[in-house]
Amino acid sequence: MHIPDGYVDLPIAAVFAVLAGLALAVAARRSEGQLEGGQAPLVGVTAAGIFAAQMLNWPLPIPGGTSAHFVGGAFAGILLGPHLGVLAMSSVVVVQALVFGDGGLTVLGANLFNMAVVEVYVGYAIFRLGRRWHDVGAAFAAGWIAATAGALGVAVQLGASSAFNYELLTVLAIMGGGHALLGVIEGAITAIVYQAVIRSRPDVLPSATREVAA
Amino acid sequence: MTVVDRTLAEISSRVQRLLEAEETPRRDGFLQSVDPAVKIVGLFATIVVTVSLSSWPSQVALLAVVGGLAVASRVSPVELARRVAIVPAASLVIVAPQLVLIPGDPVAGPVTDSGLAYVLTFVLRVTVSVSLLSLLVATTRFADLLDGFRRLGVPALGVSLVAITYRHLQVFFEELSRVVRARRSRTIADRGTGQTWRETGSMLGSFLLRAFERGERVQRNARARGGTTMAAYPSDSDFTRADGVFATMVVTIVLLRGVWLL
Repeated sequence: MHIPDGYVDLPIAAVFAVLAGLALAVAARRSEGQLEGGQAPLVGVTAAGIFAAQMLNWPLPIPGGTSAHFVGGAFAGILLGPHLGVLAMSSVVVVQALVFGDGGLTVLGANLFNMAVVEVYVGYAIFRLGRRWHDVGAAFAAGWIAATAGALGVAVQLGASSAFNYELLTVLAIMGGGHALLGVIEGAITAIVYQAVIRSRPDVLPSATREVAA
Repeated sequence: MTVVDRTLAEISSRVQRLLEAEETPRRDGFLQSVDPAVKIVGLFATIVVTVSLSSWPSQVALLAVVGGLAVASRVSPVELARRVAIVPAASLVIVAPQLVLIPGDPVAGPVTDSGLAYVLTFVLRVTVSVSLLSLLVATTRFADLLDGFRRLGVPALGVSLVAITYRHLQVFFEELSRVVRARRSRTIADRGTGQTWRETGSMLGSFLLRAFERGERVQRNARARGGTTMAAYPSDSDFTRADGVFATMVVTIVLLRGVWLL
């Protein structure tokens, strides 16, 4: 999902950098100023935990020992709430780029838009809509649809770029179709992890009273 | 290799990169002596020039610049290649069909000259861009990088958030590694995919809860100390000779791009 430099045209990268910047500004503002001296450590440390959790390999029932990884965008939204979730995933994406070279500099805004903004907000919205019927099912749908939505964002950015010489519809079909399948895995992991968390500490969800935020 | 071994290998690889991120910038090299803020702006401008170019000879020229910067910064080209190789290799696989899809004069079988030029340019462009980012990472301590971004006007809140995440990465890598090893030591038979998923889910849930609880503790401690606003790192922002040489090089590249000489 990380787009490296050289794949996306500069004007498109600039547009998505502005969009990501606006979304991050909204997320910071909607966090009601709690971050400065308040919840920044919670968000930063949880982001590091999500980053480490992405290292875990999940076996797939496919010959050859294929495994999958957790991305955690939707889960970050469920655990921290949409705005703090966006900020946490942004921190993950920035560290991935600036420490490990995953993704590029000119496309940092595009990567933030896809993996932090779209995945977290879409994932949280799906969870919020679906949890009144079945919360674990909603977590599954959130992980699945969020991963697919993020991939569609990548597809639009690549398909619209002249540097990447494939038609938009081709890229949308390959990225969208592929991630609609891979997203099932992300959805399953999100649901399983959500279930494990909610059994141990249901109070951590943003809807519950959070003692430390008081 | 089992999934557990694969997880441990990936954690180990990430930890290695974290250690390298602290070690290589200590070498006495050219880019290491350039002010982080100047370096961020300069390398970003060079990447912008790289991304904007669509001819392979100009990319080859920029690759030579990257090689020169690496040698001058005491980052061996082999080390740099090892860091970045996966991205150009994956890019080659992705754009390889264009060798035959783009119309043009055939050069070898169905491969056309236009297709070959496109693929060559694309892979070189990605290689140069990724190498430049890797040089930035390899020659700048993360704390200095954050200081550079702060001086360039990036909001302090964002810088603080990223700093906190970076500071706790090593802790969580070690913790996850311990959890995975402990699970392996308790496992004596293959339990099948379904059971493995349930156990891994439970394990990861506990791990993320511990991360969250650690965050809560750090938050309480920070609040007890009066907040999380971080003081700026003390830095010497005088424009040095190395800054001047680097800035001249970047300006030359930008000017050459501007007059279409590249």
